[in-house]
Amino acid sequence: MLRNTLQGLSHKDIGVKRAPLVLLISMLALFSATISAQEQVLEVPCEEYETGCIDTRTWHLSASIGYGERSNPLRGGKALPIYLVPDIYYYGDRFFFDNGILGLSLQQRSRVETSLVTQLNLERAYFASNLTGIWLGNQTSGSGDVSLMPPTDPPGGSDETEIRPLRIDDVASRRWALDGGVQLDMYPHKLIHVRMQLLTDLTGVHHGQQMNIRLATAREGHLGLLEVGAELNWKSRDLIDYYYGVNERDSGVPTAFYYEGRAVWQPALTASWHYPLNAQWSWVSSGRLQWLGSGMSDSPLAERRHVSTFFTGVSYRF
Amino acid sequence: MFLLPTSSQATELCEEAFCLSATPEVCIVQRAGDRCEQELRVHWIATEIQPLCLSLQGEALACWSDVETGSYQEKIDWPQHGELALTNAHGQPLISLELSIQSLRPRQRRRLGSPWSVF
Repeated sequence: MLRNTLQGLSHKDIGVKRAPLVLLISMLALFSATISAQEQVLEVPCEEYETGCIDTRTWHLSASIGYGERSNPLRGGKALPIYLVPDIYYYGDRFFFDNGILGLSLQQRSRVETSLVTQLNLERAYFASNLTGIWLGNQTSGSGDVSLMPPTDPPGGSDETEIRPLRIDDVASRRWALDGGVQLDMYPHKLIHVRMQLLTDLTGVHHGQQMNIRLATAREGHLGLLEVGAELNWKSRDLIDYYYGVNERDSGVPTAFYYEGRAVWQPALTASWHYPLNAQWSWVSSGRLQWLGSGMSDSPLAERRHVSTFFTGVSYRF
Repeated sequence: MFLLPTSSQATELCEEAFCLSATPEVCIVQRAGDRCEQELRVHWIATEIQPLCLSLQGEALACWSDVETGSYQEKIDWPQHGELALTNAHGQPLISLELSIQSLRPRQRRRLGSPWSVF
């Protein structure tokens, strides 16, 4: 994995593009050194942490039924309707599965946990046209048999030929990828959760990396549980270029549309509200707004600069 | 929290060079990670008189000399898993058994993921 990361860096990412990875690796090394000197807390009762405690060795399953939508920033991609949201997780002493994240906790301390994780890269979902596209990986886009009128000039450069904007149906199919790496969870305060991930492509699809930092705080009261969070995602040039770049692989696409993706910083804000109705039913609402960054939104495939997601409905805990 | 009965009480019928029994050997708690502070009762027999010590996880609880049997009774902070051993004058274990804590309910830990994070 590290070798992949270094290869990815030596190929394409230079100078300032390398800074986020170097920064995170340094932070991970620093925290690893710090926590190695602390006491193992596998024996510390979770009740002391007050929030987010769950039974180990038990499958937790709940499903929310309602309505939501996730916008699609790509031209030709449809907004994704959301009717059912599963919430599935299992935690052993070290192994865990949580809504698609498969992990192995290397160290569990009172305020820091270090884990190896792997998860599906969801960029491909923007090229899917429906919910089953997300879960089943439908190859709904990109046959290569496009019939775009070859432009005589770059888009916008000529008023004689009107060029139809590039759509996701016009380009070659993008593949799903599985990312893996290190996750660091920190709890500087009992109500604050900081999560950092450093991930690289494990499947040789996009050959890129991404880094996520998420700060979330939850407050429980008579109005239920409210959680708000802020995220900052960095995605490497290789990752962005694989999904949103346009080049020779997209046969039939005029060269005027060719685009080389660039590394991006993508901030996001999240909020969720969970109001218990009884022991098993709850009312849930959640929302997320993510800005895409110019390296992605400048792509001829993109027509929006942000992605918004919301859902509201009732949740049943099995 | 309650105590399990000892697994071996018949130390008076010791047919080995050393016999060691502890009551209890296991402490049951409600939840994994809960502390257990309970009285430990130990009895040992040696067929040959020599200086002996009783130790828990390498730390001496009591020592004897010029006797061929001994008892120990004290409230201790129970180990999750710890070796109770009878050791000679050089600290080498001659016979040992394991003390442990078992829980009625599974251990709890923090959830790392977020609900509804699939989107």
